[in-house]
Amino acid sequence: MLRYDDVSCTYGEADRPSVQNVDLSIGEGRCVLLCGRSGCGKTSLLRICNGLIPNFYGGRITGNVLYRDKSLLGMPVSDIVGIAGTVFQDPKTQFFTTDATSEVAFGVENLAVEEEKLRGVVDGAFRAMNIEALKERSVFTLSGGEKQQVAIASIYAMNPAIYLLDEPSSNLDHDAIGKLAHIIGRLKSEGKTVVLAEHRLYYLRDVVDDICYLDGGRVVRRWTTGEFLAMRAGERRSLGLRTMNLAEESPRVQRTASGAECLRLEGVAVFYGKRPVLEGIDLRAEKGECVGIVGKNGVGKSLFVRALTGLHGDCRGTFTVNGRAAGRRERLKRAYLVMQDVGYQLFADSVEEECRFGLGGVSDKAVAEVLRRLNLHGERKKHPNTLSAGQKQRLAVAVGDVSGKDILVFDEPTSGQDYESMLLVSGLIGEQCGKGKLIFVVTHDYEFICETCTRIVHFGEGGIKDDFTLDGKASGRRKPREIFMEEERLPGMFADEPDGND
Amino acid sequence: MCIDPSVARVGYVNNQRKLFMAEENRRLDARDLITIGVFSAVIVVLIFVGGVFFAINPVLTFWTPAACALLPGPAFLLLAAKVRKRGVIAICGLVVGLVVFVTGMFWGIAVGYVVLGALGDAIASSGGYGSFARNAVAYILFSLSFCISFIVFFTNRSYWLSSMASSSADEAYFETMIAAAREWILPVMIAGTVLSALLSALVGRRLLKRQFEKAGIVS
Amino acid sequence: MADNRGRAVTIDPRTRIFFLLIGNLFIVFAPTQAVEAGFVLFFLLAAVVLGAAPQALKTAAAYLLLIVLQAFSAGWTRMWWGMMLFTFSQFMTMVLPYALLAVILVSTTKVSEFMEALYRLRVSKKLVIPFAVMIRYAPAVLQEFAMIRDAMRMRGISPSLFGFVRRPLETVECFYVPMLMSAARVADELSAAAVARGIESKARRTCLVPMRFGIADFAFLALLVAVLVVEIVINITAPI
Repeated sequence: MLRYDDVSCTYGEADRPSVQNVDLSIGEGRCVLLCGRSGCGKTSLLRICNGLIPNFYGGRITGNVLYRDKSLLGMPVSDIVGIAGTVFQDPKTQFFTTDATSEVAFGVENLAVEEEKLRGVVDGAFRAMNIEALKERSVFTLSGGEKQQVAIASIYAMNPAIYLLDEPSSNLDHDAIGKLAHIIGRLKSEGKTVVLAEHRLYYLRDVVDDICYLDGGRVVRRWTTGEFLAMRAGERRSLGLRTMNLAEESPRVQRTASGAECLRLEGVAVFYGKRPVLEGIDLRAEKGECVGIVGKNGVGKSLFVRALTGLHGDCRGTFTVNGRAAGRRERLKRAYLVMQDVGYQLFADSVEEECRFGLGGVSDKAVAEVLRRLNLHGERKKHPNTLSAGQKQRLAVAVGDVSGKDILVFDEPTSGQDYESMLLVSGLIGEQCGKGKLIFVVTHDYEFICETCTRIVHFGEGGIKDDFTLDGKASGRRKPREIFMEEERLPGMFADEPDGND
Repeated sequence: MCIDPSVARVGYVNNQRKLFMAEENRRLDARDLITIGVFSAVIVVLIFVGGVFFAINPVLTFWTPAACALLPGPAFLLLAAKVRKRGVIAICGLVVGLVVFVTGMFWGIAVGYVVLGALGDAIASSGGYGSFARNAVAYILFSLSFCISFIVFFTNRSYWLSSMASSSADEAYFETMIAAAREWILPVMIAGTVLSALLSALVGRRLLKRQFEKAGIVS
Repeated sequence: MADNRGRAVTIDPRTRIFFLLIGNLFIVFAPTQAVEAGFVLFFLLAAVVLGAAPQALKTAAAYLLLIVLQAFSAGWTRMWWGMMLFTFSQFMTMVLPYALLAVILVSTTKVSEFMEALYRLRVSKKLVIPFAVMIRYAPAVLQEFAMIRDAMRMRGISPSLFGFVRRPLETVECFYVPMLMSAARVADELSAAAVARGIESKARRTCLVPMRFGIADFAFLALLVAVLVVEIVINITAPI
């Protein structure tokens, strides 16, 4: 049994504790979900258990953490790793080696397991995670989902009794999330204890036993999964939590189209190298629409938006923006991409400067106005890197706004964000639609689509597979469910392709 | 979220107060080593990106050291400012030297990175890695490593002449030509490298002040 | 680095590292270009035996091309371009044999094998860890360049030499700020992940790839050392 005994914790120089008087007992073989708004202390609770606080992130801890009546506090991290293994948020930054086999072996090698046993242990981890096809593969050819599976296998090989998962789904697509749920189920069936901190909840429905809600560092509510599912949607939303049951959600945004055409694509084909990835694309979109771009990894969604925004030049066919033929240069001027890693597109040394950087001739008044509208005015002197993920995203949108772009494209805008941040993004997009912009959103997030999009373009089989409006008619409600829920019912059925272009 | 590891850490075990680590952590730990690795990767890529176009071009070959010195300065200074422990530049030099050696560039360059990196580390650490002048001198020394293959090349007469014996029609002319080339190419090359490294370091200082300190990446 | 497929003879990675070191000395002490060419031939033979034939042949082809270029340009040293070509080809032929040796090591050794070989050679963790991370992260830096280039174009800043000349300060910031911010973040996250998988463990780590120093290794090393001794003796007794 893992027990938190009146645990409080304060980071280095912070004035407010990030965890306060937490008492929590987690039985062997249980799966416990820690949820709550960003900054509620759920990640800190995991870090106290695996020893990263105080050994890696300085901090003061009072109380005690016990596993089978042995105190984990004060143990060096290298001793805790055999008891509690951790899987982190971003699969890209937790790989230490360059091929999958070495990566799975990395942890056990550190534990100094005898060389004769190593091969068996590593092979066993690949088998248990059902990823034997990934053996020896180079890290650089793995998709995000595959990387996460390898990362879990690496922990599995070390055979800890407790698995700590810190927002493991935030950078995964829909299929990979399904597989993640399977893996958690498998760990439980082996009697492992699993503790998760997570925003996205739907995939945990069949694996989680207990749910703890944290607020301001305290555990303020607890539910069993059954109780949680029985809770009214309104109450759940007021706590800032996402749904655990996707079937509850259905598209609810209905905007009457403006009738003014913004973008038209005729016979567009996009090439990668010599290979045509997408062919025969015809698309017409109006001002004020919000188009969700969905489809499996590797079908060319990212390539499509890069071609649309003029970043990728290797394409044929005609693009028309606002009634005028738009070559690559023109599209670069008219369209703006808000990247998934929004940090790459922030360059200046203050929020205010960011809105002027590289644009030339933007007035102070326009900057102040856009920052006020996007709720960033209070941060205008700060360095962009010190902002939260959501604020960075809004800043990128502010740049797109002041530079007068007509088409905004968002790539996975909700990855790693809590419910309220998701609503903020959704509101932001709604507002931009209201201003007559055309929005495209590449996303795997069904809840977010329901909240935001007016239309879905489904990519697959080398082109557009389906294109429909979410207009409240039966087909507009059924089709998105088919795309997201049917796949969810059959996790593991879909081969996880490397996301070469994504 | 990154907190200075040298902050005293106090913890409680079984509700008894215990000091986990009160002394300043002056030795390189795993986090420092990994930080050195990541920044060495950036530095190596920038050295290659800067130099590759020059290295394969007959007209520009001898400007390669200067080109290699032009880009990595900001990464180098940020690494020194972030880790601030004795050995950071020396290990970076070792890593870069090892890469240079294993990727088959002239062995002298590798030796240069190791020796000049250690020398630069001694200079930078004497200023606690906080003095721009000393860090910049360390970077200039580090960058000069690339000149070594050319120094060996130009000072090794037999190399110059070994393959000439059969084909040169006008040996006297060739000798004077070589002498002249040796005399001016080397100093110009070294001066160019020093200037280029200095410029890179100045850009680095500007970025550190304007961006990274304000962003909380370094204090 | 590469995998083990297609390797004809298996020798210990430590032997391969020594081959790189001693091979370098061969070239350093080679008295004439003819002797050097002989060594290059020997390296090629070794490459075929060790299973790195295709990669080594490419390097050898480049070496041959440079020798031809050198011979050709030697007749034109009166012209400035002839002089340039001559110096360049000579410089490159000086450097290329070392590259050939490196190609053999890199294309026959996995990263994890190389790391373990370094550990067994008593190389400190302080070098092996940063080196491993460097190899892991360098390709990612190149991927980041692509993203940064996209972001710059989105902002109307041309990621080119022309763009730099036109707006030097902005271009410099666009280039370094995202790259170094990302490097700092990666360094922190990767450290946390590595610490949480026991990198700071005091125990001597083990290795998945079995490593054995066999008869073939001793024989090969003995051959290398013998050749080196003969070469140095010749060099001392008959200096050129």
